[in-house]
Amino acid sequence: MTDAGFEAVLAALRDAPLEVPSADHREEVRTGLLARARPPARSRSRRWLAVPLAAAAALIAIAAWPAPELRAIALPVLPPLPARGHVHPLPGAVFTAASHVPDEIVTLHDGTIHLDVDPLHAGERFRVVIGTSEVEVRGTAFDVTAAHDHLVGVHVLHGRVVVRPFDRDAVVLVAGGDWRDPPITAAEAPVPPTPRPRIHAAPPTPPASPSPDQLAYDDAWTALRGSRFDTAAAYFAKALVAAPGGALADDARFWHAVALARDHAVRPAIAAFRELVDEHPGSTHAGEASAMLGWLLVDAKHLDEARERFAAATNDPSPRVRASARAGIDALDSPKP
Amino acid sequence: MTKLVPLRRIAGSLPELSDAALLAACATGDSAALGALFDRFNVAVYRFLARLPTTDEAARDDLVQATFLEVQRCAGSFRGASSVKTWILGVAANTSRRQSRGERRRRVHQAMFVVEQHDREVVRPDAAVEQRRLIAKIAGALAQLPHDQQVAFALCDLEQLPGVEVARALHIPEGTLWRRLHQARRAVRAIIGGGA
Repeated sequence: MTDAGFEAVLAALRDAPLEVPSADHREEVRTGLLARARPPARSRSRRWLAVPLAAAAALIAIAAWPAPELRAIALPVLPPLPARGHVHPLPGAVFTAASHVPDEIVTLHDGTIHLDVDPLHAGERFRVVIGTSEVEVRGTAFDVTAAHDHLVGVHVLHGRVVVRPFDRDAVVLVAGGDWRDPPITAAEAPVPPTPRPRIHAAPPTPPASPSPDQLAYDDAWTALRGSRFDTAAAYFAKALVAAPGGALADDARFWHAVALARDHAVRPAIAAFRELVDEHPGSTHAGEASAMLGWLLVDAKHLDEARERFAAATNDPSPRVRASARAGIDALDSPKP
Repeated sequence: MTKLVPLRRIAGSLPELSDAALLAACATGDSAALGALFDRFNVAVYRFLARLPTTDEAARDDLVQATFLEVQRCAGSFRGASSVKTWILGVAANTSRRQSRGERRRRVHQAMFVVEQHDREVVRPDAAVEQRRLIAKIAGALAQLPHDQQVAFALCDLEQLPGVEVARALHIPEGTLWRRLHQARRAVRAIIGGGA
């Protein structure tokens, strides 16, 4: 058979219809994948701590379970959703696991759920959302009760919980603390004056938790300062994933490329700088990125593109960037040995 | 009533992140990045696996999931030696090899049966039928090849990925890749020349 004939057969094979499942089916596969995906790796120092903490939380939860009638109820342990803890719903509880790590949200509509939440990593959050209120934790065991999408009560067995009612200031509860609000029912009319919620052991409200992109960005800088460039690149990318259009995105995009370059991951660094310069020309780092890209391209022997990138950086406001760009052009113009 | 709703798609398709950036985020265990990678490449992985006759069709969903779980596990080892797509297809090839070892004998038998069925139904002279028969026959021939040769043929000749990248993604020397490809092509040519 001639080469042309063989190529024709290959073309026919390429064009042959292949069975790809429907979009709905692939969505199911995707959901299953994310449910099976591993959470971020725990550091060694915290891994040993997590097991006794979880065991202690479980013991405390069992020992401190308040209502005698509830002790008789066998609490079902649901499949590993959410990933950072276990939800034990009481009969009648209606809730959904709405999002996965790093920002896990359990939406509670009605009834009471008991949660055991593992200690979280930097950048992770775990929240229970009830209507427009929310309860945020960082490694604790607690009960949350809701009625008709309204937060009714929180009881903390272990750890620390931040309660953010939609119509009041946030409060912090520690072990043994309670927060209560009378449930609102459809039959209630007129509404009696609402008593102030009982707040136990509520220290002053702490500052708001940093956002996931802020946490990832901070982790990235910690790694960058420690010369762990691959880790830094990963965390800058994570910051971008967490908030692609956020206030930190421009800086994260630039430093992601820089970290890759420092890690000697030349091709990914070139790709990252190209993406920044070509797709985000308004970036405050565009000139500097263009000059850096030029030098990477010189090393990679893409001299024509390198010249273009240097030229684009010659008008940068920063004298340092302009000097670097001119030095790059001079290097390209100088005779080769 | 107690109900548990599966994971919600995290808002936004992350279109402005490069494939390598997503992979880097994936290496930290970021499930949003893994989901975005799945969105970008799942069709390519399905298509590639469908080209391998020794992959078990009934278990293809599991294989796709296993591929992306492996992608997440190994994401930190990606050094940019190939495109992310080639690298992921290399992961799929290695994952499918493990699965196909136990299935190969059965699949070869089935493929031979399919070829025999097509041989019997050659009754119409029109080109479309002839082409379908030829494709089925080649698929049958490929099914009898070792898995590594199937992968080389599918990635290089059918997916048309650069050989250098494919060799890096499969962690084999280029010479080994070309040898496998040559053997696969020779088998396909033999089938075409002998029976078409």
